[in-house]
Amino acid sequence: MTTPSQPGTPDAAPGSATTLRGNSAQRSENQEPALNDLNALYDAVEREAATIGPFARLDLVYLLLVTVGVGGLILMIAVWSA
Amino acid sequence: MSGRGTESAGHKPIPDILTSARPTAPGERRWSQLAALGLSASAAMATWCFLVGGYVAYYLGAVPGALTMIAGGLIGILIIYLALVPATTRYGIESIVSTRPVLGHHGAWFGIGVAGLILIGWNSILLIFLGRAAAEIFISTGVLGEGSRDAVAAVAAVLGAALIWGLLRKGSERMKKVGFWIALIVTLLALWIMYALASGVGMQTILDAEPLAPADSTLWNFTVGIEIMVASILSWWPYVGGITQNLSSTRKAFWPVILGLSLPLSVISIVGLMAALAFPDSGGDPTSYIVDLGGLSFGVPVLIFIMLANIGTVMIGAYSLSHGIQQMTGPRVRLPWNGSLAMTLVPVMIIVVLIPDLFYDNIGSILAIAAVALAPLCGVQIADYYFLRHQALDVRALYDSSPHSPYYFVKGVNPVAFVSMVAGFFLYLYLLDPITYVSNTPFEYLTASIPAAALSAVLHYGLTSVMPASFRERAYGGTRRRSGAGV
Repeated sequence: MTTPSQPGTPDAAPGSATTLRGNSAQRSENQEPALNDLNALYDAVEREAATIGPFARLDLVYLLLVTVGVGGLILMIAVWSA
Repeated sequence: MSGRGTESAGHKPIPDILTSARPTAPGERRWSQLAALGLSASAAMATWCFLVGGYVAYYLGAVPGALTMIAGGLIGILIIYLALVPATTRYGIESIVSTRPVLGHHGAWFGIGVAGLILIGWNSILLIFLGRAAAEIFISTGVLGEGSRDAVAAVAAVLGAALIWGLLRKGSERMKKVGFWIALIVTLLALWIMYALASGVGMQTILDAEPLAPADSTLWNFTVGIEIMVASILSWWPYVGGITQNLSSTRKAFWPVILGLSLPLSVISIVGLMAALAFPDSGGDPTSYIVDLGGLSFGVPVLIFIMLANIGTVMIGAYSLSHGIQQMTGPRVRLPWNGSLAMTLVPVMIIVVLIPDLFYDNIGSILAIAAVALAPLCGVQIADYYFLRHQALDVRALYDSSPHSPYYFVKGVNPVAFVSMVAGFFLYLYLLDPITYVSNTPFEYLTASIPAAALSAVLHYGLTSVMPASFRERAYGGTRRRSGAGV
């Protein structure tokens, strides 16, 4: 959770983009590190996304079995019980 | 919602539901499945579950109703899961940000608006619930007369909102564990009420009870039970991304989402269903029967617990919405925390004073209205992420709202997605009128949410495919290069 540090101030976790942008607006010398941090973050997220990989067909089958499969089975029992 | 500040199971974070300024970094995605399960359950388990179950009692008896609610919860979670979980876990983004590649940067305000209205709606219902519990305490103990019930309920609801405002004014540090305590209180309440129903009314009586106002068609009754649960699950849409973005893989999100968001809602709602069958005028609302059922010594503590649980749940909702409003306005505007809290709580106060019964007695309609907006949105999200983008997003573009961003579309809005959603919206209205619950065939075979989502998905894919090549190249060309697939 990010929380307001004090009344009247927006949430800004240390190192967050909000903090970085706020600081950069006040101190121009910080703009470059802030942008670099964000670019590094985006690069890291893209690398992680490649590692995680797409939602596979097997995952979809599993999801369908647990939701529609089990749900459908329970629904059939419900109809039978009525 | 970011949820980045506190990440252990012992400090369940409050979801910052609406939007944040960056994705969750890979190193920050450290939530355990247990932590995510706990937070999901905390989000889903509130006293509104009693009212959802009470609504199902109009159409179904105890056993078929209970089973249908579990089945409907599982089917509903499929739509939410496909629309949100793979994208939010893979890219560390919350629900609103996940709409930017679909709706456009400015179009994503639609999602923010829907999420805000849902939160205001739920908060209003919970505060009216709180007011009724307070009124019942004063009247059942003889402090006030029956004639003052409505006035006392309204005053108590407003005082509850004011108390929440006061608690949140100093920040939300004290709320770190509030979700856990709400879930615990609601679970104990459910067990307590279930025991009282079994011992006071008798399980056999409840099991034999007829639905309160069923339609002639058995199939229709089951379908509407499923629709109510699918709509309830869809209304968790704002919460899902904020939870799953903190998990390190899509598979890790599987059980926390399924078990945390679906089953607790269904199981707690069963208590509301049985209570409504035992006390037909209650609609599952414990404030209207709990003193009759267990006497003052049993009923008053239950009512106090209901008030506490509702204060906690509204605090979470109000905090999340206020935080979202601040994020939306951005750091340059510097909207005071008190100002964003006012924007969150004042509409709720107006509702609880002016139209409490309209809201409270029509929870099924409110759920259906949420589904009218969210089912088509989920449909276009599914078509866009899997079939048009082949599960590849441009992370920089998600946070670049300039006209150069591929997710800028036409003046910040993707017209194709909106046309597709409008079609799904009207299909929903044709299949099921959310206010009157008058339906048209084939609602009884398909529900309304599922075909609305499906139509929007098909239209979004089809219309995008026939858009000019320049539109597709700009909006989806990067995707093709990233995924190595065609659009």
